[in-house]
Amino acid sequence: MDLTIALNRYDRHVPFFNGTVEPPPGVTLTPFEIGESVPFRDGTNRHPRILKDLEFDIGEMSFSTFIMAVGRDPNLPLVGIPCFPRRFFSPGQIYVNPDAGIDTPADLSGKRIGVHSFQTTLSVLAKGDLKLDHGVRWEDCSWHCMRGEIVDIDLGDDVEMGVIPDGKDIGVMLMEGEIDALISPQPRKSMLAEPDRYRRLHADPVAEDIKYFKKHGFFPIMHIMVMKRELADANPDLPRQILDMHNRAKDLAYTFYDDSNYSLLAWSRNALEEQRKVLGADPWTSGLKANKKNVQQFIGYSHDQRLIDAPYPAENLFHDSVLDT
Amino acid sequence: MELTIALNRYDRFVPFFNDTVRPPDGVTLKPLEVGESTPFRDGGERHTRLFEGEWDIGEMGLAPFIIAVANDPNLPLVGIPSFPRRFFSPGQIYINPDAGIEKPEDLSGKKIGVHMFQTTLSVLAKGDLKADHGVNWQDCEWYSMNPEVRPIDIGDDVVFQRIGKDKDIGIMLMEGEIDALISPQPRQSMLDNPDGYRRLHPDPISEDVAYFKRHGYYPIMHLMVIRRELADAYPELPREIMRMCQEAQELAYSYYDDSNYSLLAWSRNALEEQRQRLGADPWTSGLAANRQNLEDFIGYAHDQRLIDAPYAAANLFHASLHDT
Repeated sequence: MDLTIALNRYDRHVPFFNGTVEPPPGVTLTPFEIGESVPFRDGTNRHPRILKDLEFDIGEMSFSTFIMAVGRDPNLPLVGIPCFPRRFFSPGQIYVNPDAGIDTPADLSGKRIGVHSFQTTLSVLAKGDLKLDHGVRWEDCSWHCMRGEIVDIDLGDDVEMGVIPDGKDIGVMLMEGEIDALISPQPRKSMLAEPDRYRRLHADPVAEDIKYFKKHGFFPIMHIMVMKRELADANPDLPRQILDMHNRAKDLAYTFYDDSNYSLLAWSRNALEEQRKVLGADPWTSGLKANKKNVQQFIGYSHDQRLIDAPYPAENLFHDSVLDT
Repeated sequence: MELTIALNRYDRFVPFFNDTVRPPDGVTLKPLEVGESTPFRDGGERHTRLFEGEWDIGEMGLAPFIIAVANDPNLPLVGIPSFPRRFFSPGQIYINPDAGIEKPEDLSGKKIGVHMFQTTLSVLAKGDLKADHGVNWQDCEWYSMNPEVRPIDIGDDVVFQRIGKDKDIGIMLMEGEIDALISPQPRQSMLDNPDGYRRLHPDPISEDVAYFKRHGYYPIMHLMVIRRELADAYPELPREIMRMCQEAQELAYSYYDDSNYSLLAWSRNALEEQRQRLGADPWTSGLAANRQNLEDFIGYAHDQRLIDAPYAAANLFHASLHDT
């Protein structure tokens, strides 16, 4: 059976691309290196191509968008597998304009905040975390999106939210004070060129992220692996085999760092040793049980942010064959 | 023309394996993932196999290559000034906690484990300990895990021996049969027993940064080599391979633009800090930018009796790249 899989190019996905992780028996898996907002070897717009075009059999999908899609269509042609190839702590991913008067998370209340899209998983997580941990209500802020929503949303009329005009760069908007803060997995190119015109919200972002981990107990999920439902139904061993393959690829990627010189980061091995002290042996855990609290909290955030009509059980996201994981 | 290239599996070589770096015009480059002491997808013992002529191009240990060039000026391999592996020595020294070693000077006279006497990291560490801390390698005892890639003769006045085939050097360290170990990674036996050893320096990063400030470079471990007859027949080829290494490295840096590229949760923060400490790119290519490093190292190789006389760094590289 020939199957396709659409993946980001992370270290932990290298084994999918160079044949060092065995596919399930009888399966030939063709990997595609596809970015979301940034194009990689095989293109961009991975999430809409997986969700709307059904272009791939298996792929790495936005957690938030998938939760919305399942909320709207319980018979969605895609079904989840409980492995999570992307994770972020929100505290470290918030950048501010140095003159916006923002010194603490609480100062974000009422501010103009840039995001990729309103439903981008990191945006939803950060809004939820700011409300839960710091009492900052997302309803009181105004939201400036870089791009449109993959799944349509309706926030109502009481919240300010819009897409920035064509031709505007959100990094420049931050540096020139048109917005006060930006939630993004990386500084924009325009920002990298002028590092003095913005800063992170937290002076010590790593310490804040660790505090988050101690309080909540997880490294928050950003992406989930999904596959075509008819494929999973016809081959009920396959979801678990993909889960297993993902785990083996991740374990192999950890061993890359056994060599202190694997990475361009001169002290990658020291960083891994430190990480294990603060986040435990593997904060990238797979399986439903180990991630249930995280998944359920995020579904609550989606509901609070008017992205789904009602919260639902974490199980609804996953194929029946992997509910005991 | 179809050529083979034998590489370690570093982040900066990923573009060679997934076709995201352009090969030279008219060349199909087949990458092999080959380890040195640890076997990877396409095997191990890369350096020995490169000397045996198994591949057209590959990543080679600097120290064995310096020895080989000294012994045979017409060696069938010639260097390209791209350096895919680098290490600071201070952070790669592990010790037995009961060996009475608190600082580098305490290593004098001690029993020290290495991969080989001529392993590049071993040569660098011995040289650095002598240059920076006055520890004479001749006064220590050397215990090696592996046979030497190139034959060496260090004379009778130095204690140097291979450990038994059934011995694990990590266990020897933890049980006090040796006092220290110079290795790019703790051995598996050590990883399983993290309280049985510690690093020489409690803050290895600060020591490595101090080294960089003092010497001005991130020390070379490996260089790229190519078959000499191929480089002579296609004089554009060595420069093209150097270009590929540079482009692959640039692309690999851009992986870390995404804060979630790595299993290391704070990889982007680590890269930002590294740039403050080591500048934009401590992985520089070219002969001129690396001459000081190479000539210091050739001096170490001579002092350690691996070559009869020091020679110019340019001797390592193909003539087409002497202007880099």
